[in-house]
Amino acid sequence: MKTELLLFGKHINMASQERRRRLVTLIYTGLATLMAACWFLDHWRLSTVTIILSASYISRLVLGGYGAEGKGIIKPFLGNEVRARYVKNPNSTWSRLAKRTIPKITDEREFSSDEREVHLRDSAHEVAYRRLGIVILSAFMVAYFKNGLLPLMLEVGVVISPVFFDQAIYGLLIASFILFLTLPQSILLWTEPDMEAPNEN
Amino acid sequence: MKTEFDFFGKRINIATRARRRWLLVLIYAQFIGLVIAWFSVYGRSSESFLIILAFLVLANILGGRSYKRGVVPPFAGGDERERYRRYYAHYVAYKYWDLTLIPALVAVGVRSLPFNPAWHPMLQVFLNRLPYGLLVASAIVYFTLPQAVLFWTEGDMEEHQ
Repeated sequence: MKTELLLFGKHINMASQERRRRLVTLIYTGLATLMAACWFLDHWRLSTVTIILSASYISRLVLGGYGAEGKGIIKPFLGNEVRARYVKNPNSTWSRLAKRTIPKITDEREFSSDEREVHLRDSAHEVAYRRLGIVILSAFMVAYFKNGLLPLMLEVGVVISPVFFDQAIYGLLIASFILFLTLPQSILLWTEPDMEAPNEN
Repeated sequence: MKTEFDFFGKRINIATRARRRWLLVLIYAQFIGLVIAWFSVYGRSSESFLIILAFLVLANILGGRSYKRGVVPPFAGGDERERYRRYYAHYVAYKYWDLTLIPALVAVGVRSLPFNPAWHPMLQVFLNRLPYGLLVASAIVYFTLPQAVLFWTEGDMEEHQ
């Protein structure tokens, strides 16, 4: 994990756990606000594209992890595999193309993860997998209740529009997509203790 | 991981990786069958409930999670190597989960748009049911993929004496 975030050319110190937690809170607050705004705008029709693009941008360029560019705070999750392929034959067409598109590939310390970091990565994915599963199962349960409960509720005189269920399923799936792109990195940022601040000299 | 699979009292040797992979392919073929069945009985809650029961039986055979009698041991416990293997299996499963998650999101998104009345009625029914089929596929993948990764990648084991 890097101790600073490079955003729009500005170096932001991310060495302390407190700052990283603040960043994670800010990101999820922002994305939740965006989701709410898009619902009011057009009930998540065309505006969903904004949410997907924002989550992808934050995932790759702020949090890191996914994407081999090595941008963001977390080292690329596939860094070891990509670098191993590069080191195997640095003169191959693939390696030359990789070096041109990912300049950091030559810097082992910046690009590759050590054993501890790999274990942390896998452990964070395990936690994220379980958390994300709750959201997906909730979407599935809403769909199940829509088919099973809605006719029964109509019989007892409770009228709920099917559109309400469809919107709830869609909202849960959009939320799960955001979490899918950001949750493992957020867990890593949240749990990693304070690190040594970057040398100012 | 177990080297034998008990199928209605008959013991089937699954010590080799090739045999385990065959068993996994068979289990997932039945999962696909369940998804298709779910797609077909859309809206009928009693049949849907039977499909969920069938899934739970199959998931019990595969094991993992909290299932104690499956071919993959329960996730709780184990030594350090097993724990790291389990974490890695979740990492791999996480990456492949989007194969059902993203299509489900797109299908629900498409469904929320008004259908063109000129479209063929069969296409409209298909688009109407597709999100639920993909949602159930996503839920099955969530419940079983880490176990499947562990089962698929474990090397040949010594046969049970």
